[in-house]
Amino acid sequence: MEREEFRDGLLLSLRHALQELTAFDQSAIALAKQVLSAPTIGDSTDALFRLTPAGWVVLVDYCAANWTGNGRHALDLFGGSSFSYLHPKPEGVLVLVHASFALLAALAAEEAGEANPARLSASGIELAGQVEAAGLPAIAHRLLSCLFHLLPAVSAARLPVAEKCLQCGEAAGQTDLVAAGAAACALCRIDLAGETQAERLAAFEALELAIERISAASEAAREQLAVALVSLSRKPENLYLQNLLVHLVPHIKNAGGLTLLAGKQPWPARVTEFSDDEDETAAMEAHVWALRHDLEVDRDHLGLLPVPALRNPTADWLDWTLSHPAYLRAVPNGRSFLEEKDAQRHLLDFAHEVTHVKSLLGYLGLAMAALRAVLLHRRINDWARGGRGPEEILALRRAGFEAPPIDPTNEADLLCAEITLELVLKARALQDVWTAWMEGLAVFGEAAAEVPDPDATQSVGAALRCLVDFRVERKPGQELTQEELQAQVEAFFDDVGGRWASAAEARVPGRLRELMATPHTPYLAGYLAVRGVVAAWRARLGRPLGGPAAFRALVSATRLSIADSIPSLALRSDRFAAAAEAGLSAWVKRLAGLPADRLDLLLTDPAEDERRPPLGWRDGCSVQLSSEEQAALAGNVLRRMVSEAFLSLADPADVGRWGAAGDPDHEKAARWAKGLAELRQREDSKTEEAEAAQMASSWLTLAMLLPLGRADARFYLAVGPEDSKSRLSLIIRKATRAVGMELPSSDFLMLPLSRQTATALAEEVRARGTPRMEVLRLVDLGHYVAPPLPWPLVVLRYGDWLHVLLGDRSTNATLVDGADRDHPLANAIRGRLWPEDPIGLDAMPRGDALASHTLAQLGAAPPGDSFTMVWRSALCTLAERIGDESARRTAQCRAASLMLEALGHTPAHAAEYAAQRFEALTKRAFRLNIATSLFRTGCLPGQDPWLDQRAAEVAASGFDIFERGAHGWDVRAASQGTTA
Amino acid sequence: MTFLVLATRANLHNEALAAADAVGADGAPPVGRLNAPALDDAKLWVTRLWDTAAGAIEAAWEDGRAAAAPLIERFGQEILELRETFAEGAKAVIDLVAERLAEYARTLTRRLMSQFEENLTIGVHRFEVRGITVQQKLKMTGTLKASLHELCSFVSEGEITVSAKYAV
Repeated sequence: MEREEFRDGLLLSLRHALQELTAFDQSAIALAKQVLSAPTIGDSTDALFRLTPAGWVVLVDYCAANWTGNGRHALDLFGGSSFSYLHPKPEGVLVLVHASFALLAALAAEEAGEANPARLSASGIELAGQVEAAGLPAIAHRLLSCLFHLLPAVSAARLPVAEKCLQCGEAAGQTDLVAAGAAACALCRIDLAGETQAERLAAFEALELAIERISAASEAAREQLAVALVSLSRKPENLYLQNLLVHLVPHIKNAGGLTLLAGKQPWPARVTEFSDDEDETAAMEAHVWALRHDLEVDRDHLGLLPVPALRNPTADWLDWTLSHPAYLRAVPNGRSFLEEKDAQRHLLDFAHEVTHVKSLLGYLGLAMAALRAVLLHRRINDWARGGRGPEEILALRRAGFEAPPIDPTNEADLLCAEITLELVLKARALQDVWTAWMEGLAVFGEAAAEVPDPDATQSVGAALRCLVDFRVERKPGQELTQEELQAQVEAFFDDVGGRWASAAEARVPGRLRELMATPHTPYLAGYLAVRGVVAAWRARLGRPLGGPAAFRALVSATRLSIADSIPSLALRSDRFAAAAEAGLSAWVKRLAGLPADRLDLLLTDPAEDERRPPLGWRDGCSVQLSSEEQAALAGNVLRRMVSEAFLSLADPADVGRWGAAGDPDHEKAARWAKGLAELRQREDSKTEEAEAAQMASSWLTLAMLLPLGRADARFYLAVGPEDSKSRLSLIIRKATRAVGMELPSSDFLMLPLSRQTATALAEEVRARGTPRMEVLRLVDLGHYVAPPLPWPLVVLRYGDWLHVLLGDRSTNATLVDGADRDHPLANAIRGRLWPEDPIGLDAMPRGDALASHTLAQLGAAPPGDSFTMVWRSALCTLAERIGDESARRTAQCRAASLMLEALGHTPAHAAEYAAQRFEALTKRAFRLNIATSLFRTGCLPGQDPWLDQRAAEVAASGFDIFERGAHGWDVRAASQGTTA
Repeated sequence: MTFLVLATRANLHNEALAAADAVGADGAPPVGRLNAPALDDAKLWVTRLWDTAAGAIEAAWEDGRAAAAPLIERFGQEILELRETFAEGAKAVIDLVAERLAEYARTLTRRLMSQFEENLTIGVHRFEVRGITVQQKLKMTGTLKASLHELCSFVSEGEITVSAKYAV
């Protein structure tokens, strides 16, 4: 539409509206006068008028007719260059009026029969935004309320209006307005929800929020809004909301059939207050009543959540967490873990993944952390180059820029981009090289079944026992002696170890059979490497070393003896990958060949020799080393690694892609490398390295706090007087599928809190209004909490409120009070579980996105000179390597094969095992027996009639890896050449 | 005119087993994470039963029906054990193993039939295939054990007679 036509049409519609609405309330005109006469717009905030759309028309008309600023009439807005919406003048009224006209135009179009709800919605939101920015959020809210009702009932255009309405209500700080906005959001979501689960989930959660907000509103608003929402329950397609809508029954006089569902009990608000003992009892009864109903609501909500993409348990190389599909939305509670149908399978899954995490919390983890911290620092520098401020960086990140824009003609940009990719590639190379060993060790660990040591927090078994609560058994009134308590603890630990052993016996042979044939992951090669090393140890020791002792020693070696096996992080990624492969091969060979005296030291059970200092490693050998000495050693290695990582591409030898030395382009590239090396010698570079090392060290320390499960929990809070306990009641979902059912199972937890703690939580609830808090179960893998805790931690989090309990001994002892926001453990847990990175600078986990960014930036760039074109081509090749999953699997397979060759396997066999060709190598009918043989000999070699009977069958199966030595059957030892 | 053709070769048998292996198999776990495959009871049981069943077919193929007999017997016992210890998932397990057996039979037969030339030229005469008939009967109904028994008999003959009818 031409501008003049637009103006004419607008004026016509305005006049038309005025003619139609001459009887309209004079209050709008009064407000308009007040707005225009006020020194600033903000002074009019007290003008509380309930305006209808027509009122706004009058207001805008008045503004347009009477306001003149800087000698211009409002209608000059449309006259040309004196006004640009994109660069508004400081006069707030001018902007307001302009936005008003946009809305009027949309209204005019509606009146002219040109229905365009989206345009009307956008114009209204724009105007509301201007009104809100002028300091009048309540008026903006009312404008949006009017608009909301103007729009068609089932219209996607209503939703953004409702959301803006809620936002304005919150900005106004008026509970009725917040409730109205939340109810509008819920109405829209419910109206728009079709059959899809995602739409229904959005509707469900919007209704949840609305219910919370309505309960905080005035009585009149409560009734009005509740009636509007409850009427939805009459629609059969909204049956999935029925249990939730029951929460609104107390607010209305006649809720029809919902009243029956709600029952006669008083329904508690999310937060209530009680004043004496009698009230406390009533509050508790109301909580129990409400939680029983909320079990249904929780199941409804869970049923709407998308099925997790995660199908199998995993551990993460970079943040050292584990994820188990069964405990993504559930938390083990009490003895629930053992009571689940799949308890044995889950126990072995956790043994597998905890082994991964523990193994990574050593030098391999340090190397990952060093690369990640250096990448983070480099990105901070890269983003800040060219004088970008935080706001510009944030805007670019929101626009989808994973890394700073790359100027393809700028050599510094190309260098920075390449260093970024190099760091990612080196982290991935380490992962790929070590995958086989890590998996082999974890598979071996499944069968290790060590009995947790009550005095140790270091073992995998100690972590597994944290999946189950220890309950003190005592008769009423009985006082237990320390010895009796200790006996109960030991019996409990024996029980966990025994259950692990039972699970291993029942399931590990079958799992081994599966793992050896799982495509594309070198479990078989890794497992055979581990077994070859253990067999070599057994042969050297001359005694039948048991699986648990061997496993513990292997984990220790994997964590702490590999520093020298990780190549310099300064190497270019391709040479780094090759060096890492060689490092792994040399390390396993050295490990298999440990001398007997070192093995004795390594394998001595600490429980048998309490005076022995903690075991450490130096120069690849086990040594007696205090924990302080070990920490100092690790600190030195970390600083070296960080320094090396910063030197990526600082070696002139890395620039060979531009031809030989002497070539002008080669020399130019070499100057960049030398410049980079010189930069790293500067004092500020050293400071940067120290900061990065500190950051990496901090990550690794926090990683000792390992979450084992997490869930959301519906709750009620009763705040009591100062001298009594307040109560927090919540639903702990302990399984998403209970035994024999497809439904979740849950426990109630009623937790006493101090008034101060409860008040802090109540404030958060009032501010956020969501009806669920997060519950997590953590294990302290190291000594993060002093003194070391072999017990689980239970973390409750609601916004900034974080409360930590000791999850054992029936005491629910509080470790961190929710009122203590700066408690060191609370900060550590926040840093571990919810690290702050609002701009998303910590990019190592998003290496693929970095690669895509590089390809997108360079792919569309016009051709440049030959020097930069070569560089760009190389960058694209690097980026493609990052995203090449097939290449990663090949790299894993190659490293696994080389590792087996180092342990004495023939290249042909090593390649077969690394390629997971167990099925191609064996006859089908014998495979389970082979797996069973591996399991039995892994636990303990010895005289075994079962193996004797099947020896010929297994030997004939095509998988000839067993031999009968002085101590009975075992896998052939690595040092003897495992296969002929 | 009718030609009798002596069919199966080892590669066809192996291809058929590979096709059966692929029924219900999981994809590769994601790269870049340390995974433990999702090894639930159903998966372990399917593998166990299928190892035995396919082992019986292998034995029948290589050494004749008598060699398969102990494995067929073991297969029957394993099914009983499955029903006793994993009753709630037994049907799904059995269905999948049955589907693998059927896929083996289907693939083998299909591959056999694809061995025939679509037309033959003898001298100046060109003959086109008008029909192919597998002489053996394969009854894949009844119990799973009976189906396995049938299949082992089917493959243990060493040669499966397939006739193709060509006409000018």
